[in-house]
Amino acid sequence: MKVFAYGIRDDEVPALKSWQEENPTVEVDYTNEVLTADTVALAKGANSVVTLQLDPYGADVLEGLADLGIKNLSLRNVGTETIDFEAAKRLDFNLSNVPVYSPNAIAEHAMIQLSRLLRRTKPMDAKVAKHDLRWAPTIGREVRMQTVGVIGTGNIGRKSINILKGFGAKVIAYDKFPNKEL
Amino acid sequence: MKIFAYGIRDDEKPALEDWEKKNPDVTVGYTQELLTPETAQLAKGSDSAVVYQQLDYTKETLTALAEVGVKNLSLRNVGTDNIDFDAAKELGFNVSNVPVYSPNAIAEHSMIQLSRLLRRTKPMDAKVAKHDLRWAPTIGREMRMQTVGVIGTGNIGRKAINILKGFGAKVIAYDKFPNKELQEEGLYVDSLDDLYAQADAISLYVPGVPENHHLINKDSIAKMKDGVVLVNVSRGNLMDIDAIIDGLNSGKVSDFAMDVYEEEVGLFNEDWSGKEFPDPKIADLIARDNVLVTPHIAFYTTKAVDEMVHQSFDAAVAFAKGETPAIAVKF
Repeated sequence: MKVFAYGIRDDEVPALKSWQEENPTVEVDYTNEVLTADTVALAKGANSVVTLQLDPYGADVLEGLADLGIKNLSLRNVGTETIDFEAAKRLDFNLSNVPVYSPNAIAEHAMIQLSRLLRRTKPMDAKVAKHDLRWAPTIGREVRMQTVGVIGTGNIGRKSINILKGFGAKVIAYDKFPNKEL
Repeated sequence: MKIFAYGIRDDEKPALEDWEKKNPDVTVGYTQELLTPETAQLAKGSDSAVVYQQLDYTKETLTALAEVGVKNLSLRNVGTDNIDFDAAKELGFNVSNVPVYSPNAIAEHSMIQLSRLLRRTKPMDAKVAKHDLRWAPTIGREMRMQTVGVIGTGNIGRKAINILKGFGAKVIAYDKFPNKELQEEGLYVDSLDDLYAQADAISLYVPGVPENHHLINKDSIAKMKDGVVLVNVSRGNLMDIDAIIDGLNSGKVSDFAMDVYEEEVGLFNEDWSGKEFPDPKIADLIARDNVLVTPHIAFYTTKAVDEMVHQSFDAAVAFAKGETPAIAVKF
């Protein structure tokens, strides 16, 4: 069995190597180039192709893969808007995406940014960078003292709520479809 | 009853006004000037003085204050190292400080800095500022995926642990005097060596007492995991800064956040912009992408300032009434 991956970045290589270790019977080859009509030929001999790119998956690209006997396309991201679904259906492709990479990643970023805004890290860092080491008047506000409104309590919203609870903030939430536990 | 306050900053005024509203029968006077032998006379007619400064409270200063009839001194901060206690005793002073402004302020700062280091916000912000909007290769690490070693589980350490739990990080802790609840949760490791071996990131919440001097040094760093992330918002003398710099240079220490520094007196809380910066080690650290330096600001939140003002003024009133507030300093 062989899998060929396009658009592999340096930061993906550790994960790729670890997957290969866990799947020693699968041959894996890859390129950092994205999948286009010009690069389709690189996948020759593979059973499935794995991709991540902004470039569209047009009919020409899908036909190119199908000509090589490849009809399995697995996206590493969630967005599928750039796939020509009409062509994919016609050519009988199997498609997958990754709908959930890490709710924590997104929730953490939101809460880190919130806490940084409250703490006024941007002006404080700017002062330190130019060697103004005075603390006043760049006073912060504690996350704990805030009432934080969370709009949307799906996977990511709920992780954010956990982070806020850890800080001791007061949490209020809204969702069209409320979560039973919340 | 009259209270006179020195060194009042603009950011303290909201808290001051709030306290005055709650204590309408007390007359409050204040100045932004610090307490010196010259300015002591501003307190004439008052029962108590409320102060906050790094400048020493010398025998001369205390004598001048006593001479205008004021022998109650309430500090708005915790540090009392700059008081000449022999003179204070001789002159019959009452002294109070504020030992606890807001453990949350300090815990939050340490955890925000940790999460920023993991997330690599410094290089990312720099890219955005110069309009390079590419995400790769500035990849972050999740708090949730880390094992974080918390050294010291007092008030502040325990707040930090709560924040870490909120992120879903794995927490391991060490304290000479374990906390019963945390013990029951099984959070403690048996020794600092165990903590060093297991932690991806370490944050300190212990006092700068002599036995903790240079707790983090060349030997302890060698026992840590490769690529360890270190955070110190506690006391500057807990870390040997040369060992930290060596660790950063070798890559053994992947990221570092400091809010305190062994040689910070005279360096922090000054504006060196446009001037020659006197400490090349700190200048070097400030410039690094994987280091966050802040000038002893972990405490500096609206809540903490509110507590500093309210508690010190309440103590000043207690002294004026001849009472001994809970936060009176024994000396």
